[in-house]
Amino acid sequence: MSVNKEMADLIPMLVTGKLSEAESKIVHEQIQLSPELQKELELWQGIYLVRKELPRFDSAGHLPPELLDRFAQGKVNQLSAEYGEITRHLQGCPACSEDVESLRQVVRLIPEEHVKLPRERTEWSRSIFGLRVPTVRALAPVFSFLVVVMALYVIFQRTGEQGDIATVMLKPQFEKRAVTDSTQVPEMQVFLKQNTNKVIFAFATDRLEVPEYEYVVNLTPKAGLPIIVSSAAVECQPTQITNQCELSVTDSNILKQLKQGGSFSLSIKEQFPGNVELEPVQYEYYFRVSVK
Amino acid sequence: MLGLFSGTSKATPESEVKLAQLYVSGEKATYKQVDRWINQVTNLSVWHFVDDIEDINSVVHLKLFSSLKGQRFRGDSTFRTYVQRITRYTCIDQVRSQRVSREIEPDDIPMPAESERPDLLHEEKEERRIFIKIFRAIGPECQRIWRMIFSDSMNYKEIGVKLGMPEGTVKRKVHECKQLAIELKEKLT
Repeated sequence: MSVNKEMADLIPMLVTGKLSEAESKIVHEQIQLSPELQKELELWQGIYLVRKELPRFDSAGHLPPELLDRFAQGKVNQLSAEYGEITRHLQGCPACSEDVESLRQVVRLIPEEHVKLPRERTEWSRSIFGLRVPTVRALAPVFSFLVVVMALYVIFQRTGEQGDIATVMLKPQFEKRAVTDSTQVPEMQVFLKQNTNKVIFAFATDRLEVPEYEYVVNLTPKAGLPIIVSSAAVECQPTQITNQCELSVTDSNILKQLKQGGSFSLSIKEQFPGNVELEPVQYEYYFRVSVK
Repeated sequence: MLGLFSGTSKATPESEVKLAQLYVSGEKATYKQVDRWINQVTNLSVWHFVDDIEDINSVVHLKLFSSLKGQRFRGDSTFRTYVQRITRYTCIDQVRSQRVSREIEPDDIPMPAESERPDLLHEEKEERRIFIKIFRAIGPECQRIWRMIFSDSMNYKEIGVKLGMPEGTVKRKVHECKQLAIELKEKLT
């Protein structure tokens, strides 16, 4: 380390009077000999001059403006621990609440702009399955009709079977609280083979996947007791609109129960950590299993 | 160039980064456009109670400059959005600083001698304003360390203990903040 660097480090301490008499003398002598150090001294003296103003800019105890800005624009995941912390702070801090309101007004009047997708995606989107986009657009109604027909076929008629794996597309029917009489609920048809060793129940949810959140999953035969399915078996992938989740069942006891056939209900209830104040949603799916 | 500002041209990350580079290089038209973007935010009636709103413009420019020099803008948003974000943050900082009233001890204010020239007084006042702007633009980490040095009168070792970092790291950060402050001061003078 050069002498100048060592001296430069001591100048802020010199300005605040934290150096001993001997140290101050040495630093002053070096400053006299170096225009560079003289400039440093002027800079630090200038900053020291505004020291009484410094506490005005102390935002300790308040949320940073960047975080408030994201919150004001609804860009903080509502299921995240961060969101919970922010709302708790705002409940006890009128100043930050005021700031959030100001920011909301500003972004409402001057919304943020977005950039075009990166070049690679743009090129891909110009050609979908080798077809130019205008052609794809023209054929979109046909494609949409075919997709809907296939989806209905899969959901209501067959399971997708890949060897010994059965994939069941669960159609969102009801949320638990909306069901008053489960005996009157129409059932989906699910077909399994005897040699099926894995069943994947695929469902969509409008909740975002957060690692801290879990699902409580129960599979209940119509005339039986609930069977608890491990929530670790639920995996979700975010898509543009909703989360596509898959519940994989490989437990031989549960599969054995399913292969006995009959009516089942599958309930998937969200479970949040204690500090999250959100109403958990519970989804209920009713289906009838036939075994070949 | 005007195409870069035009609402009809589609923004891409590359075009937005190019605009930012023009701003850092000091290109006049770009600087004026950025000023207009800042004014769009600061002129809103939401901030009508904020003092020194015109000062915010220069603080935003400083913050923008130091942020772009640190290559923190990668075109994830439009440059306009980036500028206006920083403006919003700066407005909130100003609102907050107004809320905190600090009684200044009369003894701590250097009182001019009766014979002191008005132009010198004015110069000192300007110098103080420049340093306040630098402090506001420097970023929260530097602000925190400077506050510890100048308001709390802590030495490097004490700061290191409080922040949980070695003394050498504190010195390095002080050096980095100082370099940035020098650049910002050059922009203002």
